[in-house]
Amino acid sequence: MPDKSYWFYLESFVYAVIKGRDLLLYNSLTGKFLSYMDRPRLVEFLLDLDRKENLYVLKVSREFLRDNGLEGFMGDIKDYFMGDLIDVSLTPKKPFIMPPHLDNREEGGQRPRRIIRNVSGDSLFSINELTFFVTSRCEKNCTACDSAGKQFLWCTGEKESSELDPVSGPMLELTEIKEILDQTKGCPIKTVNIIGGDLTRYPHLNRLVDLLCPSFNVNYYFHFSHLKNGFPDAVTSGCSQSKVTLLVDCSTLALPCDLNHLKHLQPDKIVFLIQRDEEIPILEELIENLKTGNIAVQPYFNGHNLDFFKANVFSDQESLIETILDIGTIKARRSYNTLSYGKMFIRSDKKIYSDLNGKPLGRLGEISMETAVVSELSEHGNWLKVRRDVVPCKDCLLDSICPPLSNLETVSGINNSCNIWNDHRNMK
Amino acid sequence: MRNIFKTANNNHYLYHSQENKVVFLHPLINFFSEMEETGMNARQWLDNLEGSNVTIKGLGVFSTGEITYYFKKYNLLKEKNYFSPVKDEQLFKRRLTGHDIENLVTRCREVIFEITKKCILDCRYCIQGDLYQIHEKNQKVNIDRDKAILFLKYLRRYWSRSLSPEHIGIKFYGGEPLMNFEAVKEIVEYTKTLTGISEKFYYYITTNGVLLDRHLDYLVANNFYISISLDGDKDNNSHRIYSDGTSSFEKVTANVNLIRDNHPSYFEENISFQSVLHNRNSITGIHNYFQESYQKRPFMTEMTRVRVNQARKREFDKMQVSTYHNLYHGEDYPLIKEKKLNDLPRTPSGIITHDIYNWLLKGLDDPGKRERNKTPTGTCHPFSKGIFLATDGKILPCERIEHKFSLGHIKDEVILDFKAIAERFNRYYDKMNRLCLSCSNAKFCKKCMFYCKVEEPQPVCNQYCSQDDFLRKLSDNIGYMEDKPGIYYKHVTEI
Repeated sequence: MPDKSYWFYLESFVYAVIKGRDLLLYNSLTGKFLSYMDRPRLVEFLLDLDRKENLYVLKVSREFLRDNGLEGFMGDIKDYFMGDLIDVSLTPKKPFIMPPHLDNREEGGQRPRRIIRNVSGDSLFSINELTFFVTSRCEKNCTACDSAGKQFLWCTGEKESSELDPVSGPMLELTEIKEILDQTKGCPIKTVNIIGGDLTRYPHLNRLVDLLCPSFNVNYYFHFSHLKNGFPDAVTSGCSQSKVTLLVDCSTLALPCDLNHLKHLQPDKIVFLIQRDEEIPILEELIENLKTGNIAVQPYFNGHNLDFFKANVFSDQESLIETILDIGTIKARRSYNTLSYGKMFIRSDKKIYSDLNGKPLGRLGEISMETAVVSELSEHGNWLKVRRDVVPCKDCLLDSICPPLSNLETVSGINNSCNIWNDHRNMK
Repeated sequence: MRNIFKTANNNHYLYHSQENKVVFLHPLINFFSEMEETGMNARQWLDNLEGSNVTIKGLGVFSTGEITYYFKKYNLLKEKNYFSPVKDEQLFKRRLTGHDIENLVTRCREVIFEITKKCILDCRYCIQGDLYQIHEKNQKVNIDRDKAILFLKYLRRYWSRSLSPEHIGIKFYGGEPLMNFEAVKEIVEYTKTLTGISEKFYYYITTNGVLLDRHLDYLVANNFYISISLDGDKDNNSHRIYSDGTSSFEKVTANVNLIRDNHPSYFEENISFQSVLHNRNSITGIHNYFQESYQKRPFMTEMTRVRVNQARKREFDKMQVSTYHNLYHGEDYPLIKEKKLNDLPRTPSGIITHDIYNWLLKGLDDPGKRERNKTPTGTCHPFSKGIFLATDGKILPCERIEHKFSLGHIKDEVILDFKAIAERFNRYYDKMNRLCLSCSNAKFCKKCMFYCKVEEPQPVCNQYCSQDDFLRKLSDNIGYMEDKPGIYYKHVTEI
């Protein structure tokens, strides 16, 4: 009696990754994944499945599966609803599956057409967020100054630069900000961030608020130490699209006095900077007493606290499973940095950046924003930094599933800020 | 409403409109879906099964283990809204503002001047001829040069902005624009005087080719891109005639050869052809003629099917050929299908292959790019493609729209009220949206609302697609891909 034939197929919502002799399958419906290490025959089978004449569907027999040690794999695939083995007599014509990664099968740096097109055409429309460091002036001398600002949005007196003076350092003029806004008119800018230095000392704050409201969602960032007299009236009155964010370094707080002051300020959001285990109880006390929902905790890498990060911040397999990614998100993560793409920073010294850890794209007045974007996409490529381009992530099966590369990884020089590398060898 | 379709090969698929996914279905999953669609409780049915094997009519014998598995899978898909996608309330909600229109004018990449209504030919299918009922026939025949210059002066203020495009096309259109060549020259020379932006301009002209020899030196010197209308060989081209009925073919091809022989690199770079498909030519005939004679690939269009003179309808019907018909019922269909599917002109809504793949791929490409918040219909936003100045001083978003839809005009000054334009478009969008919201093809729509009687209380869209029609089209397309998966592969990897 002849051996029965089956169509084996992977579902169009399953994302497959092959690295050398290893294989990962991700179900974008359930968020579950299967990985197989050092399985050359299985990899060969998957590569065959992905050939243009097969398109995720292959005719197989039980004998073939048995001879190639694939029966267990078939069981896994069915258990995880990632594909099926269907009797050919039920569907005599080969089913058509749209493999989710076909349009992006390139390796070696080629980007999707949309991004290529951006370089040649509507480049300006890539910008979706603008951050203005309107003043560098600040008389404080915080330890996190400069370095925190390179990891996340945090005020900086830009003291790294010897030309800057804490009292009379450079500022952005209102006309310069207006020029940028004019240039980017029509761009899909969702947010404008205004940050210092000491924002309370920025002399054009009132007029800046008028300029930005109501056209943009604006976040004003103030450091707690600058607010002995509360927020400037300009930012707390009038515009419903303006939000005030308070930056608080847990290591400098004096409780309970500062807690009362925090309660009194009532910002829209508080960001607590934390850098060591000892600050966790303080943070917990603050969160409990403040009773406000809009609190963010921002771990800060100070160069010496890697263990703190490993214990509290690094991703692990469980945190990956918590979020179900659709195929579009996975493909986006393969192609560009979804965290940084479209963000432009203009510092008070007039320099334009796409990444505060990178080189400036140019200076205000010398290049247009459009030129800055073209320069970013064609020369600097900060927005295009993805895990599949960096060591060791490019060898990891999860390079497109993991969150995008962050500034923390740039600053620390450790691209794999995760515990996943070891985890996923044991997972199924 | 069921969003499942079956191909001619008897395979079932599910179309998830919100995620733009087509998912192959095991027959048992379809069985459960059908069962619940008719009001039966599938869970109860499953609980009442007896014995280890069950015969399901029309499908075969299945073990209870298999049935239970596929019920679980069915429930997973159901849980993820694959069988009843959440209605996308945000779709088509976008409306335009005066600020949007201002930006569109600033970013406008093409200015089209209708240089004259006059033409040296009397082509049988011409939209200005008796075959069509065109309201603008008795307009002033030549463009007012002062108004053309005034228009450029007006646009200059927008072109000076940093958002303006790097390259701007100045396009000359007719009638036959070479019949009013002094106006062409005056406009070109004026653009050269616009300091700071003159280097942005590129010049394009659409011509029947008869007068090319007279003006060739100027056209070449100014690096004009020339699009020549020619329908193929002499027989193919026999609707393109002088008013005395004689053929234009010899004169036009002589002029084409003149350019090719005297300016070979210019010919290579700057000359293109466009052909109208009709009863005396075919897609392959046109393609072969241009390939063999000039190693060029022409742009093919159909005869316009709107505003046909009903008194000449029989003649029109005899002459008019649809690309779809020519493509899918022609003798060379297998050859075209295999080799050139992706290079063919856009087909009418009868087939949606290109559009649906583009949409599906877009969905895969970037979640941030999914255009949920779009305006209804496939109508271009005003001036997003170009801005058209007609001989009568009316300003339109393109040359293919009736003049009653003009968005502005030039008298002593340029009148373009951005806010009013936005409000007018939004009024039309609201009307069209009633159709779009129930149209299954709406996400892929390319239909221009100005061809939908949009000014009337009840617009009519001839591309409106019910869910059943849409699934039928999907079935045709996916069925075709079952037979030829290589076509899909070619599309996603090469195009």
